[in-house]
Amino acid sequence: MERKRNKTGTAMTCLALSLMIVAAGCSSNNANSGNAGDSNPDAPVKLTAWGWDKAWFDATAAEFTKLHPNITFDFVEVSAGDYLKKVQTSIASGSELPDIIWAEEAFRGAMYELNVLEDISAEPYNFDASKLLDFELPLLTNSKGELVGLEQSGSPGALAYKRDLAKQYFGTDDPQELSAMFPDWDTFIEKGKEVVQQSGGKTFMLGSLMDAYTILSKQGTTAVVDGTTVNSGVMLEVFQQLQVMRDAQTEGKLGMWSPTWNASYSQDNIIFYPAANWSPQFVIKPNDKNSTGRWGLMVPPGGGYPYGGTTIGIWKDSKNKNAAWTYMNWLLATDEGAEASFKTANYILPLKSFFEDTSKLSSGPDEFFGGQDLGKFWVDEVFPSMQAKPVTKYDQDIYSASELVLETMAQDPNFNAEEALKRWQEQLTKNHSDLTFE
Amino acid sequence: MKASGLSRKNKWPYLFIAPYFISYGILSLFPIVFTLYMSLTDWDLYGNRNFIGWDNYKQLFFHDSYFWKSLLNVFIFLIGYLPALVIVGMLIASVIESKLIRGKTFFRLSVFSAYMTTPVAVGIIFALLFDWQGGFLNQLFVELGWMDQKINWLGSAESARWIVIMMVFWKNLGYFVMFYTAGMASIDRSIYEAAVIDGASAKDVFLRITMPLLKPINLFLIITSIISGLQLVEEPMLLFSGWASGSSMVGGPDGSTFTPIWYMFDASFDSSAFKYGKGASIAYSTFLFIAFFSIMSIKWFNKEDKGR
Repeated sequence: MERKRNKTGTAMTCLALSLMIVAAGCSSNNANSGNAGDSNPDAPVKLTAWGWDKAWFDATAAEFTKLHPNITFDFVEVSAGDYLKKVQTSIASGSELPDIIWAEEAFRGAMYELNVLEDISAEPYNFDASKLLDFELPLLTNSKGELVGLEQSGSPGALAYKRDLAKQYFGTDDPQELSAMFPDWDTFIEKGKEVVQQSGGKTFMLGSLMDAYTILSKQGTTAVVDGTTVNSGVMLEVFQQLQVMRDAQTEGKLGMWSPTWNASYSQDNIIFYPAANWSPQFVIKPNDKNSTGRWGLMVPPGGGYPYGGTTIGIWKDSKNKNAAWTYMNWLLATDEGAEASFKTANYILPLKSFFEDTSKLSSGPDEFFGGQDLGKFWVDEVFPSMQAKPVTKYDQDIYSASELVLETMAQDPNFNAEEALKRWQEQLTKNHSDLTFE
Repeated sequence: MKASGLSRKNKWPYLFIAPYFISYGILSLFPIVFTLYMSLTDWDLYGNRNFIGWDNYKQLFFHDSYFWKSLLNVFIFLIGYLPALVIVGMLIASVIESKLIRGKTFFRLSVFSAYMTTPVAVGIIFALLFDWQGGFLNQLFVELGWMDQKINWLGSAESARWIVIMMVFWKNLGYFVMFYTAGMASIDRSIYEAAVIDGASAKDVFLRITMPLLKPINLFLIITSIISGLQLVEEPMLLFSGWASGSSMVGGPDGSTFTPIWYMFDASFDSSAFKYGKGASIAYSTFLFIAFFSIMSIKWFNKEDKGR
């Protein structure tokens, strides 16, 4: 009798334990983000944020906490490449998103359509969109016309060049003279042919067709996709321009962002690179550590363009919306926040009020750039002419379809712009059968 | 007294296997059935969750060239590497097992070490090897003077497919050799001795004794290779992830290395379409093909057996 009872006891314990293990694996994690809720504005609140720019975040959050000591932060590092996937798996599994959500340029259109960001032009935030520079609005608005976030830093794009090569092939390394020399892309390509000839096929204007695409695709205001209609004409023009470039052999056939492309920064085979205000810190200086005074920035043919950028918004189901808005508003919509951003990372907030006194935005002569004042360059020469296209949820797929098509165009001399467009359309319809082309 | 059913004495077996089957039910069976349900909807993360019946499948089978292309690709890969794996695997196994080689363990381990490499690493390493501008192979050949211009191996459909076939062959050779080695070790030595006494040459021994006796192993290897080959995804996906070349090419040049499960991943997670319904239908369609071809292969093998 006793043995039987022992057996029962053991078996029951084992059963219970195994069921507990299964149950533990299945339980969702309840991250409680804040206890006081929005009732008491001075109650301690902990805001969660997912992002990748920890240095900037920590520095600016420290400034903010001086003014609002009750609000603290929990910053989780998620790289930009994984961000959208992490958000979509959280949505699909029903787990919590952070109070403060970031969305990088590559995928912010898709992030807006996932319907997780709060509309800050509506109650209770009532943010006045006219505070922002005009070109920002299409970048921060979703397809329903709601303003869903604020820009971390205006990301103006220009052209970086190597001064020694510019002097050698164009006779000058002054940015304004160079911009005057290349008023449009046709002149740029023509001059490029001379460069290839003079260097015996060793030096090229740009690293790859994708470098040129980065600039060409972002210039102008006509959206590539409007609702579900694709404006094929816009893409055809871009591909035609790229075909001319390919036929003139003015690009180096490297892969943008590949190890060889990164290595070319310190070599002599490529003269120009697309560059934003974050490029010197994250791309140019790391790839060309040992030079000084070798680089310059100029306005590209066709004018400035938005390159990169990050939207910062509030999660729709956050329990700490008011605290999150207090933070966001101070950081991204006031002059004090703009100054804190500028001080820590030279980020330039696209606020009209911040631009009233542009002398503040001078960053001083930068030795790496031959004494050029980068702050003044962006503010005086690039920002005024910047325009932006509206973002769509198809942006990421448009980019990868173009990447695929341009890989073929770069190496097959018989692959022309019309074929490129056809292949591009096929790639885009693969996962978006609802798109129509005109 | 009942001999079966949940009587007092017989409940223990059921209770003991219950934990496994409960967790199987929750973690495997339920997702499988739920995926079937998902494939009948247009579920995506943008708010659509409507039941649409067989529309996903109709779209896939009748209007989707990428799906059929991906199936064609995996079959081309299978035809490319499977016969080679069987033949070369058996040859290498018999050489390693023969008296001609000393230090058998070293050779067995070296061949098998390729199989131990994670597929992600395999894809990335081959991407580095065959990269157009910075790839090791191109640089080596240009240095040696065998080529004067670098070839874009991964840029054209034919060479991209050969590289994928080569990758999968290289990786799985060790696996096949290991099985054949085990199979050969289990063949009774006396059969070989009898054959040698009867005057059989080495070729006869191989073709008429070793190969037929390895038939069950071949059946197992071929069926499992078909199943895993139709599910091929990691190696080509990482090969074209753009780690070495800077730009990713979903599906390879002109979709020549696209695979069904890569398509599923692309539709559901990778692109910004988040079409879970479509991904689920691709998964189930691939499963149908796998089941069909596995059954066909088993029947073909058994027919050969019966014919004796």
